[in-house]
Amino acid sequence: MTNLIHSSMALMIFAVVVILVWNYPPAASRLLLVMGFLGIFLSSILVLREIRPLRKQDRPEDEKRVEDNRYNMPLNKVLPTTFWIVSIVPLVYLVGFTPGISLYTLTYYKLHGGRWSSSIVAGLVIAAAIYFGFVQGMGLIFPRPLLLPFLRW
Amino acid sequence: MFEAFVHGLGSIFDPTVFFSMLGAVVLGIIFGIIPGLGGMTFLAVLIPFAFGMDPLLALTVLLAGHAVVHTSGGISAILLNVPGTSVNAPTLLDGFPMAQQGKAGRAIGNAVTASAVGGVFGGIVMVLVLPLLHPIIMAFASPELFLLCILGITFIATLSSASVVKGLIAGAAGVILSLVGLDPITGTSRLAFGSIYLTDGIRIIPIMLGIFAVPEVVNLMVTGKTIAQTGSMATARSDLVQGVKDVFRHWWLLLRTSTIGALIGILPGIGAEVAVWVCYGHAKQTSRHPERFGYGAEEGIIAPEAANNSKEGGALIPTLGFGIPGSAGMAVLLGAFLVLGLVPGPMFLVEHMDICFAMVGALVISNIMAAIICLGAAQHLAKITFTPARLLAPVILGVLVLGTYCYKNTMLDIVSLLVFGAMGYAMARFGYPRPPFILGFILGSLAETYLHLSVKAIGPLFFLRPICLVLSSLLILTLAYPFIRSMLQRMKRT
Repeated sequence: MTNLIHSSMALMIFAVVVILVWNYPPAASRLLLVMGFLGIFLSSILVLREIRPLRKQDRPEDEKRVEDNRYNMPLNKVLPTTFWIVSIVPLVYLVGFTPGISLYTLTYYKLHGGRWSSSIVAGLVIAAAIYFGFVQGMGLIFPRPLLLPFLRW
Repeated sequence: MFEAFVHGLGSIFDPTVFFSMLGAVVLGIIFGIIPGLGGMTFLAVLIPFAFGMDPLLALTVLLAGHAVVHTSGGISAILLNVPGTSVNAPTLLDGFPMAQQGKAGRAIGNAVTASAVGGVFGGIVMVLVLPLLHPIIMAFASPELFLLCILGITFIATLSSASVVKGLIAGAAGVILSLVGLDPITGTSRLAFGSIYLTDGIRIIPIMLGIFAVPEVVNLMVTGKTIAQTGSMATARSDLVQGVKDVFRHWWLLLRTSTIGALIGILPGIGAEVAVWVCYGHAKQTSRHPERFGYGAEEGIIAPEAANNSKEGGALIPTLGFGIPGSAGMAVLLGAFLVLGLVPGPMFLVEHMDICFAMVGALVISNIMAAIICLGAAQHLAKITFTPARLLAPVILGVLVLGTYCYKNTMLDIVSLLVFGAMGYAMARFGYPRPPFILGFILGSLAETYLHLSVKAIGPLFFLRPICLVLSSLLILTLAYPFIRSMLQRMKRT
């Protein structure tokens, strides 16, 4: 069922691409149309293969490989991880890159079993590495954190 | 000529040049090991400092640092499953499984030694090929280059996954995404939905890091394990020596892939990304045990690593000889020539032959320096694989965010990184191979330019040119290869 869903989604995306680029000038749409139609053809093969029931021994090798894929983890574990990964963006927006990334490392390490002392050391090392490596070394200018006016106040 | 050769090579050993090169090599190693930075960032950061410097010193320093970026990029691919640069992507296919088996030292030995030998080989090829340069480059016009791009994508799509269909879907998706944005020929805004960010085109760094690195961070966070699941660091030193020996044991593969890398490097516009994947495919096809590939085959590391460094020597040839960059990195290096008031081209070879030979010398010596430094530090670098995931995962994510931001200084690239991270995870989970997607993205816009030029100049039957027919036959053979292979296996079984 999962295979049918992602194959159909791929088919739909390629179909939408073809519809969107259909009216572009030929020079702008030539390769896009070729790739779009190729995608439709190939994902149709995948969809048809899913609709037609296959005996276990006749299943293509890639399907067997997907089942023991190391990325095939339960969704209830992946979703909290997604929260952790996405949360770094608002954090660097709000408090800035150097404090944001070091705060992120400190919090993640502490909440996943690290000791307070080692979490603080990890956060400080990250802050120093960003400051000396990127700000001083490369002269990188980070955007002003959104919370800066409030922090000043 | 001989005088220029002696003067050029001799100037490398001037203490100022030599120690500046050493500093550049160390910096290049750091830029290579941090995912998202890479050779182009290295050049972009350092080119402003080249202004006013002696041209020989400036060019040798820039080239030395740029040439070794791929050497250390292989270390990130092996230890973290995150390629330091896009060129190191094939290395992770076999390097990371070796790290998981506790053979990180051996894999690093393979990668670093193959890179060094490849780099030295590339330098030698550059000296030898200079007189033969003209006919080789002229034989490849737009139609041939277009077919070479398509062949590269197809090659990887058929070889990187058990499913040819999924591989080709991934390749087609990569090409489509590379064409998002303003069309350079008609000025049409394609698939941008009114967004200024998308009109500018999707950038390589967020897409590459998102597709390859973010799924690895997800995996680290979910499993909470160290990257090395078996083995111990105690074996690293002996593994390292074993890794060096492996490279010379596979000397014939090393020679072949270094040659392929250097030859592909000569073709303008075809980047190291093609060379490494072609060499990985070649190593797999010619191996007696192709089934080991993807599970820790040392040939899978040696072939692309030798190619990525030998390619730099090849890429220098059209850059210096014609002023046509042999790779994206060389295009940036051309900027340094302009900053220094030099114009690369046929006259450059006449007037500044000593600088040409100094650059060859810099290429050779920097590769040897990088190998010594990386082999010396490998045991310490291997410790990264035993670091707990709860520390490694946020640090890698932080580096990814920083690397993505400092590429173009825009926050939207970080959002793009996460979007492509989700896509990369979905691809990995549902068995769509990621290498053809990335290669499709890298070559898509190039392929379109060559296709447009071919249709305009020759017409729709451009593929009937002699070299095109050979390339088309290779394309058909590549597509048919998995079916022929499975048919032969079935016949063998019955």
